[in-house]
Amino acid sequence: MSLVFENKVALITGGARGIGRATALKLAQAGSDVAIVYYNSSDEAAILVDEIQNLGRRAVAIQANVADHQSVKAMFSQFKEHFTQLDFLISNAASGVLKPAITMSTKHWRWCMETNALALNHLVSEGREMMPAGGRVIALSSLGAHRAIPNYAFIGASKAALEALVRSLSLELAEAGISVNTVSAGVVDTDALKHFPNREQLLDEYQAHALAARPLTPVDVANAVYLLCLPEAEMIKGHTLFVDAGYSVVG
Amino acid sequence: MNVDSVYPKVREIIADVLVIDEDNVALNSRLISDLGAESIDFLDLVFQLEKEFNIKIPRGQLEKNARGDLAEDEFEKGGVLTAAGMSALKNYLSEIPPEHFKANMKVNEIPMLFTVETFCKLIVAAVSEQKASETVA
Repeated sequence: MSLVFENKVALITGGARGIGRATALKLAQAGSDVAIVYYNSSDEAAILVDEIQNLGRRAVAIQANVADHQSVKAMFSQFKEHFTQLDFLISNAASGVLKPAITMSTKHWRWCMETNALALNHLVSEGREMMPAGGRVIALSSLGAHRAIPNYAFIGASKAALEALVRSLSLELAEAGISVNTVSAGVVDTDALKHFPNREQLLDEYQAHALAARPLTPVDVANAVYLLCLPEAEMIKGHTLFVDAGYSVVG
Repeated sequence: MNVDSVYPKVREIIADVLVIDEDNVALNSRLISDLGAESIDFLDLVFQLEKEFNIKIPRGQLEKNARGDLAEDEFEKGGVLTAAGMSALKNYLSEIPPEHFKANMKVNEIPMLFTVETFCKLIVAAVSEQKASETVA
């Protein structure tokens, strides 16, 4: 019995750790070959490549700074040495500065906006020629796009920009038959969360209001990305899919 | 390859990342205290140094190098450096004047000590390790 994503190729930015890692593994388990794009996490990326190869899939790790157009261009040149198509483009890498907005600078704004939002545009503009009809672009976002979360101001703004860009790109890629969507994840305890000064508060408040007893895991988010990559999801476009155990809808 | 040979390029990259004049960067400049580097700057710096010198600088490599042969729990307790840890750190960061090492220093304060020279040493070590593993392979 063949796997649903057999002969498909996925590229995941920020793929070496956390949600990106879980997504890479999920898509690989479903049959996809995978390109892991990392920035600083070379060791973790190499380990993940091994794991995916042990599943019988092809996997490569490519270093890039997704905020930088030239770096993304070079990244796709390397990608093309291994793959002739791209089916699933997962824009997951994010970075930021976790301080009150009124203490932050233009440099911080640009860092957040370019890494978290503009990167999607670099990825799509350089990657689209390799994407067939039926391809998927998925960006990872969070509730910070809609709600004020302490210390998250600039990242939240960048996620709002990202979600708006997803809608525009879904319009622009429609004719090519490529679906572009957002997955908005609730609070997941990954390495990234360790940088939050209010990490415990975030986890506690999430758990207090989420409609599930257990915490949200990277695998849960990866599963949502997987759903949007399925053939059955073809008519879901420009949508923000929340995977947060209902946290955002309860009073 | 040694500190002096890599210094010019490292200086150039640091000045570029921190958006400061190269003239304001010296070998003994501390990245955070003297040059105003922040956490995002370290991310960018590591990326650019890795690219320029074709090396890998895994996360926490500097702290790992400072620990040397010490186990993690010999190096620090509850986030504070032990006496053995402080000694190992001073030994590794030999370029840093001893008066900069304050008593009961926390592990997360270590980056405050890093100078341009610290990064030059890191690069020289990474390049020679890379060459060694290539030879073995």
